[in-house]
Amino acid sequence: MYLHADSTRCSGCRACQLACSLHLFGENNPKKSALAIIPHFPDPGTFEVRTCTQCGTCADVCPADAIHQNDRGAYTIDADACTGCLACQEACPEQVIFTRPELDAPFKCDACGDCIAVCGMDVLSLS
Amino acid sequence: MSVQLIPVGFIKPYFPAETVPVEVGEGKTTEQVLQELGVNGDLVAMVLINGRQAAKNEPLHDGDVVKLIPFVGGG
Amino acid sequence: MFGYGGRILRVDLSSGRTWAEPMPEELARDYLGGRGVGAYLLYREVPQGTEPLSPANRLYVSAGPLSGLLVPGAGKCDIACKSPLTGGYAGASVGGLLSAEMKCAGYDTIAIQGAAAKPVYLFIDDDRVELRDATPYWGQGSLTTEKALKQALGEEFQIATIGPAGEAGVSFACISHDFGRQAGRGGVGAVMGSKKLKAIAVRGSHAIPVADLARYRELARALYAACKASPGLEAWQRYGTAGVTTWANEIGAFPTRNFSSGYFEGHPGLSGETMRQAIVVTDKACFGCPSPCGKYSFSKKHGVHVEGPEYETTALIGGDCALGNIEDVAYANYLCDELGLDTISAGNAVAFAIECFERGIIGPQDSGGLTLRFGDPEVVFTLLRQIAGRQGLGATLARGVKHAAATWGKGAEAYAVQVKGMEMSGYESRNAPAMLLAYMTCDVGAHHNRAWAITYDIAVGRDAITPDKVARVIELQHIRPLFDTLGACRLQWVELSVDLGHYAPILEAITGVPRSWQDLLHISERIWNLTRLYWLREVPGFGRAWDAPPERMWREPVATGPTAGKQVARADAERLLDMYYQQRGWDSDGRPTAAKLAELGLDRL
Repeated sequence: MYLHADSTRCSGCRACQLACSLHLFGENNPKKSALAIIPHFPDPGTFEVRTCTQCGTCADVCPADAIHQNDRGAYTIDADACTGCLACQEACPEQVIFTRPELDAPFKCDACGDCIAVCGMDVLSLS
Repeated sequence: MSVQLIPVGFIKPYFPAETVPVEVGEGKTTEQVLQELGVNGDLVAMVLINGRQAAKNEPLHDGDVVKLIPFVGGG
Repeated sequence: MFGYGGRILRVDLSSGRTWAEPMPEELARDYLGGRGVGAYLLYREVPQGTEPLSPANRLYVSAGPLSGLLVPGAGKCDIACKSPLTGGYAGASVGGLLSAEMKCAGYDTIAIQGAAAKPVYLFIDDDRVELRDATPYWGQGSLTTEKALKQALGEEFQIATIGPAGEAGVSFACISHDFGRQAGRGGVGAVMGSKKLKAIAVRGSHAIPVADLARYRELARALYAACKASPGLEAWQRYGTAGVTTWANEIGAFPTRNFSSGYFEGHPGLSGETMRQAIVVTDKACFGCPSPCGKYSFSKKHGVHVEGPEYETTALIGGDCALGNIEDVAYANYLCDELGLDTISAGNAVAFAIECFERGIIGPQDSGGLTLRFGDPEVVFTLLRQIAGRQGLGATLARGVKHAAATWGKGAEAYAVQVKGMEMSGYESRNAPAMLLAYMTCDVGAHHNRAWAITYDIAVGRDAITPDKVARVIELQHIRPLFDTLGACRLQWVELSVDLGHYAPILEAITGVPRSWQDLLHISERIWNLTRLYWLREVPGFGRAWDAPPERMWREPVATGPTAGKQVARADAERLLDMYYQQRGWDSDGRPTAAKLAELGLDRL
């Protein structure tokens, strides 16, 4: 199960990113979220959404065996086991493994679906 | 022909039901239908015929679903 | 303070010094944020009699306590200053993502004073604040500059910029943001230009602190669910405000040929569906908004991208100049965005010039040989460029239609559709007296942002001149700008009928300060009276005469269309004002009484 995104419908509102940071960290900070919204303006004037496809590449390359699937089948990084080598971030084909200066380990989408509830444009779905 | 009217928001009380099936002559307009129902057409700010905005004087066709949306507060 | 950025960033462009001070709790308590803080600081800090384009004027860019939070449309930013267009209060609102970014950088208000010797832009990256050389950008369009700054600094930066019109001091120059949003009205762009401030670039990486996280998340979820459940959502997402165009014509409220009529025969070429099919590329949202009204478009005819045209631009450049092709209106919109002109004032001014030409008040000797006529897109494009460059007729029009009418004389005043010096926006109101009263009494000039009452006029009878209509206008003048004060959008309530009852609880969950909706309305009434005091202080002789409707509204009936023959008699406009002042607790010249000021805590000012 993973978060699907139909970029053609995205309006660039960032509500998904806010919901994500509230879920992952209990914080109101769209820059601390696990999906990417990339504006392409002024031309062609569209938004690109990148979400984790739960492909498992990060888990495959992790030398510390710190990445495993949760009960939704989503790969999650165990911050305690993580050594901070960032091999996962480098290997991620969607560039959706994120870091923050105040965090010891990178973080990623855990397929919680909170973002779907606040998306008004039916961009996101879990399946 | 028959069309279906779906009033939205504060104009709902002006209509007999949530969705109103109406039998009308072919080519009747939304404006005329509202007139016959005794509803002030000016209160209906947007008419959607099968999901697309239409002017009130456009002719209706059999099976059209007509959503009637008022504006509470403008821009 | 929970919910706030926590600081006011002070920028003195004359000395080049910047410093941050804590956001005062009393200011947040009594004025909340956004428009409230802007109006208060303007009143307190800008000396009486200040010339609007002098260094002593200040520009206040303010987020609100809801900005940047998980609230629909939480990207609203208020920009306040003394207006070069009217000489009174200017408070313009811009959407996009600016206010959200400011909050994450830890700022509620950016307060800009003085003037730089050479063009600069304000660079803000959390705590790092610099004034950087903007000489390479000076002279460039707003869209071009925003693109260049995003490329130079990174996509994460939110940019606000002026165009050549602001640099040149055009009285209705705007401030632009996010490739298509503007703080449009009152000449806020000219004030920024007079300070040689080309742009503001801000990035914020912090979280905004929230008092009751669990309750906030629960209330936010309910608010978004309410928006998504609205039966009008799909239509609103499809058309945005362009959905108003057809109706405005059906009810005879569409400004046409300089407000000579309320119906434009070419309106089908401007409709929401026509526009959708012809040019719309993306439904573009402001921060946190589930109901994007932005219609980002591409005109094949003219080869430009533009966000819009939204309703106002379609009304003042489409109907008012009689352009019936949405692609031509889109191009004019693009020109205004790139040049940095308020499309409402600019469209109104162009229409005014065309009518004056048709009536022989001005002639080819004034227009450089150009024949001005309605329905000619090239005339519109040419005049817009002239206005931005202050050339030809643009030299006079750049100061607004009130000034232009006084300059040209020969009865031109009868055709200047303005109140307090601000050009009227997109609703022809000769058969909508509550709406006309809204225009007469709006606190920035003839703008519909503070109150929009046409549906009320229609529902209770358009010809009625009654106290309930006045009460409705006053009620709206407290509710609508409250959103500009809180830093979030009102359109979910206005257009989707989302219940107002959502807002006080979520504000309390965010800030931790218990306040009812009535408490918030009381603050809004305070702000309303404060801006009135500002006009009274700044404009010599200000009073009842400044609330008068444009001459055309009472001198001439509507020419064509569903409201043909209608007008609002001068005596009826006076009756509306009498009732308005009485209901507001103001004297017969429109001055707040001592009792009213005491009730609102403004006697201590």
